[in-house]
Amino acid sequence: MSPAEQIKGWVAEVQSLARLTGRAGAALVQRPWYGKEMVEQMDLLGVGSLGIVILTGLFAGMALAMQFSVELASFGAKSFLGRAVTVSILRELGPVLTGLMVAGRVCSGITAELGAMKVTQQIDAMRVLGTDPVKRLVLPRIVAVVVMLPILTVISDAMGVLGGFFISFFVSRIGSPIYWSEVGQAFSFENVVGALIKPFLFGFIIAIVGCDHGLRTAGGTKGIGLATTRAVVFASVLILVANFLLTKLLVGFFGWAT
Amino acid sequence: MGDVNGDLITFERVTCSYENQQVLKEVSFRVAPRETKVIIGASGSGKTTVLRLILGLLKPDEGRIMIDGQEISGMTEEELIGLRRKIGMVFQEGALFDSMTVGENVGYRLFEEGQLSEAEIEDRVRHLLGFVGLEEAIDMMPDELSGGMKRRVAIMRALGAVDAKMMLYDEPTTGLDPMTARTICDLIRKLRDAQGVSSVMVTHQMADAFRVGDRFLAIHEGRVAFEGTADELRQCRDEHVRGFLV
Ligand SMILES: Nc1ncnc2c1ncn2[C@@H]1O[C@H](COP(=O)(O)OP(=O)(O)O)[C@@H](O)[C@H]1O
Ligand SMILES: [Mg+2]
Repeated sequence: MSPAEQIKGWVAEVQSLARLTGRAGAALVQRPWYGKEMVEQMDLLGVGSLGIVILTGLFAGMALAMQFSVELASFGAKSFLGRAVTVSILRELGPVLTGLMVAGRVCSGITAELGAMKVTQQIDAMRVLGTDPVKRLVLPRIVAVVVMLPILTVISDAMGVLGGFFISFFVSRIGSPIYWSEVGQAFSFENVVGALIKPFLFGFIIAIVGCDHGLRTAGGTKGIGLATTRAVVFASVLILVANFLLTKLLVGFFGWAT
Repeated sequence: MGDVNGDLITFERVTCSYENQQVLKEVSFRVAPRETKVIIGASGSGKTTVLRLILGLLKPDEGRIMIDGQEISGMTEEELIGLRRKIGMVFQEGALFDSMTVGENVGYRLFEEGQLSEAEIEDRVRHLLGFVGLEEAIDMMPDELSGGMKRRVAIMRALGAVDAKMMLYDEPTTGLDPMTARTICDLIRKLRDAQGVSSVMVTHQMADAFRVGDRFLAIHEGRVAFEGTADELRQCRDEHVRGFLV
């Protein structure tokens, strides 16, 4: 593929996402609402991701604390470890890492499921039987991921801070009250807002990209594999780009010195 | 504005393509009330595409499609949903919802419409499944069914579309053993006689085509190669059509 074709392909992807977003928006303000499906998806996609999110948060927090502890010790600022770890996790590591992990698990799952329904004509069957697939399949997944990802991110953040504590206590030998009081210092209004806004957007990206690729799947079983890979890659890249733009916006908004 | 001839389906010089590949070229035909039209043609000749056009799942590039007296090319998805209530569609391989039980599949539309109570829906579903001897399968998942059972469930799900005026079948016997294929054909005939519906059946199995069809349409590479009765079909001189009969 030439670069021009590649760029054309990406533009087409974004256009397709925008169209699906429009249709999902319209579905949001129209009955029927598939509440039962939404709860089911929250359980399946959200609660089901708890394990990987806990593990990711814990180990990322421990690694981060280990790095910071060495670096801070070199200029005698080891006692700030709790704050350094918490700020990094709240602002960047927690949302991005959780977003990427959930993209790997949930976005691929959504694409594979809807893709299989597409190639076996179940999506067509649904339309023929009078149901709008956007209402019954897409909207519940968007709502589920947008609601669950912030919750998962908070859990991942908490595990990261806890992991940081293990390192600080057992490896760096920082007293527990010092660590936790520094953690408390990191909970400024700005950091908390940043920590909570990001996963909403990332959740939306994961769900809409997964659904869009699933519904556009063609070419039989092989097509499902291709669509799934593409969806995860595309969602991951979009999350990183959106993260940068959002960070820039927040930095400007809160007037953080750069 | 009704169709002057009272036909249920009218295609007038319909041309249709996927992306940049033209699949149907100036296809015209009619289906009269209570008629069973069989569309034959090789794999990839555009038979499924015709059914998708009838359902409005796909829009033609050119030409007119009238369903029960209404031009459908310009309809919105909402209007099409209303129209599809009159049409039962049996997809190739059945396309049963594999995350739902057989009963939920057959009662899908009734559950969606929410007019009837669960008990009433179950009654109706049992009745429909009983008609094809599958009452026992009501709580099974589609994975657990044989190919022939899946087709029968798919037909009953299509029929659960309450006021079906026409039924569309996409290769309902492909991949089945001859005995099972015959029971499916008998079922299709039984439905036509009992419900007085028009049908369009797509197939490339001639024995089954002759078993259920009143009139025949042969498609070759996206064009109509033949239209007529069984006798006319047997006498047809077109080499592509002949190639199909042997
Ligand atoms: N969704 C699609 N996108 C692109 N090409 C398609 C699609 N569906 C079918 N085609 C192509 O259109 C042609 C006709 O398909 P179809 O109507 O399914 O044929 P048939 O049912 O007679 O086997 C085939 O060449 C097929 O490859
Ligand atoms: Mg086909």
